[in-house]
Amino acid sequence: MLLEPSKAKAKLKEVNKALNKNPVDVAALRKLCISPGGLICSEARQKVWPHLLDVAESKIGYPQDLRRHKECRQVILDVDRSGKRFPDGLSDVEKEELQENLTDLILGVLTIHPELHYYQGYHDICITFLLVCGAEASLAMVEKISTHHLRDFMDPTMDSTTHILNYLIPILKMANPKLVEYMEKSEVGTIFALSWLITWYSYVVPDQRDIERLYDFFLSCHPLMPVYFAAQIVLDNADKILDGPCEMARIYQLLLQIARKPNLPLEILIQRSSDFYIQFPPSSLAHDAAEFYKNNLAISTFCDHALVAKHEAPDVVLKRMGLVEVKKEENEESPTEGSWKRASKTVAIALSGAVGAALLAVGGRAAEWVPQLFGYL
Amino acid sequence: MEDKCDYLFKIILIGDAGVGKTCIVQRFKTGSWFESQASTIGVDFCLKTCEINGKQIKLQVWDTAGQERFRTITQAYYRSAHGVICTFDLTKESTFDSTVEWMDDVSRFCSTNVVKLLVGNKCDMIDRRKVSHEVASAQGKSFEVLEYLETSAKENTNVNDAFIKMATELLKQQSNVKDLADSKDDQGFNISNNTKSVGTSCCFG
Repeated sequence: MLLEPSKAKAKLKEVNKALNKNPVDVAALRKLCISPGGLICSEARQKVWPHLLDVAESKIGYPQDLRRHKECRQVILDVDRSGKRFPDGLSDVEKEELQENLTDLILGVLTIHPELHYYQGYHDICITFLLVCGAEASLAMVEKISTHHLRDFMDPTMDSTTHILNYLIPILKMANPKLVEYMEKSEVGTIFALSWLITWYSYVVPDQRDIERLYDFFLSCHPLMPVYFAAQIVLDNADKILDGPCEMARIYQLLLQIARKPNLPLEILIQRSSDFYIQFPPSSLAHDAAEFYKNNLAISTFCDHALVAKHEAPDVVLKRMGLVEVKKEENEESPTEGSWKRASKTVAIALSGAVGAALLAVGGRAAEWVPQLFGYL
Repeated sequence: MEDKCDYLFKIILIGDAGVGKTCIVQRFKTGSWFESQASTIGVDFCLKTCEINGKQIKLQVWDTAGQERFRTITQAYYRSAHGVICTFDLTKESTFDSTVEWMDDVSRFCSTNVVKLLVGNKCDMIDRRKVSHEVASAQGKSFEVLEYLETSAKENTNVNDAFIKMATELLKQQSNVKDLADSKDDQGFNISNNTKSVGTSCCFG
């Protein structure tokens, strides 16, 4: 959804204001990223995204001998097949250059971080950054999200990814238990959302502008936000899921097709995901997600719920910093009128994101709660 | 998806990344071929109905990501598959060597009566061929596949044939084990009997 020109203009003014503050007002930028329309245009994204990831001052450069990396073959195989994502009208030379840059970007991060493992779909995320920010600036940003937001997807195995995916079930259950019951009966599982999650929807959403809008949102929020967003896609189509045979293939196909439709109501889904995140933060879902994991994949190693309970870092951090209390007071004081409530909620999500950035700045440990959890698997 | 069919078969495509699994599926499904077909992430799915011996057959085709790390995820789809198409790239020997591991997964995770095809894709690239018909065919025999086929999704060679052969065999198998139709056995075919005669509609299990 595009904002009206006057609103878009006003928003860009706000973005500039936040950028021009000294220091840059990252919390305000995050709020602008989450609110309708996101950052509006690629030019704003080029300027803002590095601040969201706290790499605006980064001087990181491409390492040497990239093409010797052991994943080089697989990366080139995927890069060569990524033409669908490139803008229309590029010449063959431009396409080739973009592909070279993409290969370098991926192998650059993998070379800097030998502990990270390439997955098919990672290239889709890298393309988004490359198209918005160019080869030079993308390295530091992709390096940062790879060691934080995407860190668990880059484990040697997909176990952590599967687990993260299973957060979908408790989120859905909070909103529509009947739907979850139906889905569980159909045995559709959660794999339909795998490509959504690990590519931040760039594998399925057909329009590059929509993808960028979603990245505004995800870059400003908790790493689990793409799962909350997946839940909203499913919930938005609950009627279609329930209105038909309880069959795995039907539901699987339905969901695959829905995400690929060009008219996904992004802004509504973003708003609802944000609301859900506030209402049901990850810590409140961890136990159920673990249960689903255990029951459905029969991986009994994940049995100590005391360990799962440790998975509360975002809230623990917020509490420690007094931010949860602030949020409560805001809610108590605010009138029940929807827009006001919503505004304070947006502040709270943006704050939790900002906490991440603050921690990144201090010790580079923002999203560590996720690896911490999966370290026990 | 509501239309009637007599039989439903689930077919899963496996094989290394880049051998052309998605191109084969797309050629079969839509009749077209894309030069730069994007890599499959996770598990994609499509449906196609065809008629064999006067029967309406619905084929549920599960197209899987080829990268090694996705294997643990795709294995979950093996169990209920009636047919497996194990694909390699005739111009890349390593993808042929990998078929041993892929078929090993098949014997571990699929039902015992699963119908297997070995498919060497990209047979249009004659100059770049690295695996001979004889060698691949012998490999196919050792895997106890129904047949070894060489396809070109690009030139539409043998793609339909592969699916039709698979479906015909499954149909044959099905008529040999009619008794299984109503059983809840995992390995039976999912023919529902919610209409008067068994086999006039189908469901997905």
